[in-house]
Amino acid sequence: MIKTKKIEVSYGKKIIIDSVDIHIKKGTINTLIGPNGSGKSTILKALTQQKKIDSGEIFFKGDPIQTLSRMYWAKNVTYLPQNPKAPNDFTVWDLVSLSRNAYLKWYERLGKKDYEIIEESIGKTNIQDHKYKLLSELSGGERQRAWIAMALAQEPELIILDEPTTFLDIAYQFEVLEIIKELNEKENITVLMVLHDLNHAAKYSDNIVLLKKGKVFAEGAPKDVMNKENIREAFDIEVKVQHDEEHNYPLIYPIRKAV
Amino acid sequence: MEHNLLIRKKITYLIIVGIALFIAFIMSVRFGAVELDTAEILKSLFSSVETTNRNIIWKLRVPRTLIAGLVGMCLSVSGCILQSVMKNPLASPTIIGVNAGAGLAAAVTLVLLPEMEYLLTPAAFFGAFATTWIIYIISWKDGIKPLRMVLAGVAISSIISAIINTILIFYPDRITNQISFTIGSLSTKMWSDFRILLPYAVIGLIIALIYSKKLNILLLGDEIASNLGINIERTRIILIAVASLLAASAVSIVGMLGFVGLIIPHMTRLIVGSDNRFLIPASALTGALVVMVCDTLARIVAKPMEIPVGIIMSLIGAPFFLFLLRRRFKYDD
Repeated sequence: MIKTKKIEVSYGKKIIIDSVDIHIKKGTINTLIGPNGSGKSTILKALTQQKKIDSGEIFFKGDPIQTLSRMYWAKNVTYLPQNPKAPNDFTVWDLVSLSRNAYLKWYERLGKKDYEIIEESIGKTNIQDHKYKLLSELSGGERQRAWIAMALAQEPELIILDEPTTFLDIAYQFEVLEIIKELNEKENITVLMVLHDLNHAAKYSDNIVLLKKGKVFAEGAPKDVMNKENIREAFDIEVKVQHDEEHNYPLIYPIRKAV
Repeated sequence: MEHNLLIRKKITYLIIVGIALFIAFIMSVRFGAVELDTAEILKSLFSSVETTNRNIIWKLRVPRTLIAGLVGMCLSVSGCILQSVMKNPLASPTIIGVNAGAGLAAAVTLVLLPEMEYLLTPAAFFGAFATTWIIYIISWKDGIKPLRMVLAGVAISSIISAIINTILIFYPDRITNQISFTIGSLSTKMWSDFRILLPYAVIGLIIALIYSKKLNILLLGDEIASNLGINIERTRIILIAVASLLAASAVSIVGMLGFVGLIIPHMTRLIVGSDNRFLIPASALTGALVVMVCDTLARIVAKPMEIPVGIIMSLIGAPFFLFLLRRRFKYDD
């Protein structure tokens, strides 16, 4: 679905991403992990063309992304930044309906099909009970679900999320990740996200990209990437890794700072 | 159900303001140095017999009232657009240099070259619009960041006001001309002024309504908006241009009614919410209503003296806004 070839991004003279090759396969959940400043969010910005790449190439379904039209992109890919903001007096429905923009010409109003898709998206994220509530009346978890509903109403094939669980308590984090997994399984939506919590990444990802100082340090299935050597090298912490046989993913226990 | 209620509330507000606007129109035509009764007004509006009263109504009061309405409309819609585009509650036509530019033009035509007073309106219009572009160009660096533009606007405005003050210091005897422009007044406005204003108001309002959906999307931030298929820079430049044109046309005719463009959108937002599809028409009507009412008061509170409408607006409008602000705190972050 997305392939990058030796992309490089820098802010001024500082190189943030250095010769990164990423391959995201259709229908998979992909997670970028790495310490602060390792270039995770910048990669998402480069993929969504908010940050220009200095060199290299990015392909979306085989086409260089700079050749794709704005509307084509908007109909295929959706992006949720960290901590997105909307006016507090919008209702959930108002918010979700905005993402139909790419499907409407400037003089068109929401049609029957748009209404169906909006309702469906609200249903899939399990927020139908709150759809006419103002965003200011929602809890953190409900609000994040509203944003995911908005992303869904865009009918994307690929959904890109920058730390979708920040500012949420553990129950809401779980809820949001479960919804993402469900969308991946039921709707076959490809997911690319940044997560901070290594255990979340291990549990929910098919493919993990571990970044260090703007480079891909390791890439592959959670059980291959999440070992103590890799984590020590990337994060400078000593961890114990245990394999959960029942669910087939590694569990990581931080122990101390590496010396 | 709940949803319908929300929408119904917004539509009800539009209808109420619409009715209030009609009443305000009649009142504005009725009260003034010469008082007329409503029957007389209606008679004059629909018959063609030349009378003194009819002349007062047609040649003075009606155009003045219509101008008051249009000016209120232009400034509020301009403020609405800017607050959404800049994502900044303090954004108003003043921020994009409209007042500074018009003020400088006024200082040049009224103080430096008083024999060229007839150039005031075009000069003020040009000054206001040009200042917006200067601010836009100065704050451009890989695209426009709204906050950078707001700050650049403040800086440029302060440079321009220093220039204005310098001019005033050298011509202390002509300061009064400048002051009446600075406060903003509707006296002596005629049909010719109305005709200048009308096309800008109509075109600006139509474009603002067409773009109201995009304005809503811009409120979600550049990252999301661009991913929803919005061409951010192009949308922003069009909207800033429209906001500047709307405000420049109003300010060039009545002077700096700075307050309207800042407060009316907020006042309306507290009542109908941030959805620009309702906010823009509601602000347009509310702005028209407020300026009309304030101008009527301006003519009657100190009869036969006339107080500039700008003063009335700040003295009555601002406290009313503070009252709303304290009551409707639920929209705070």
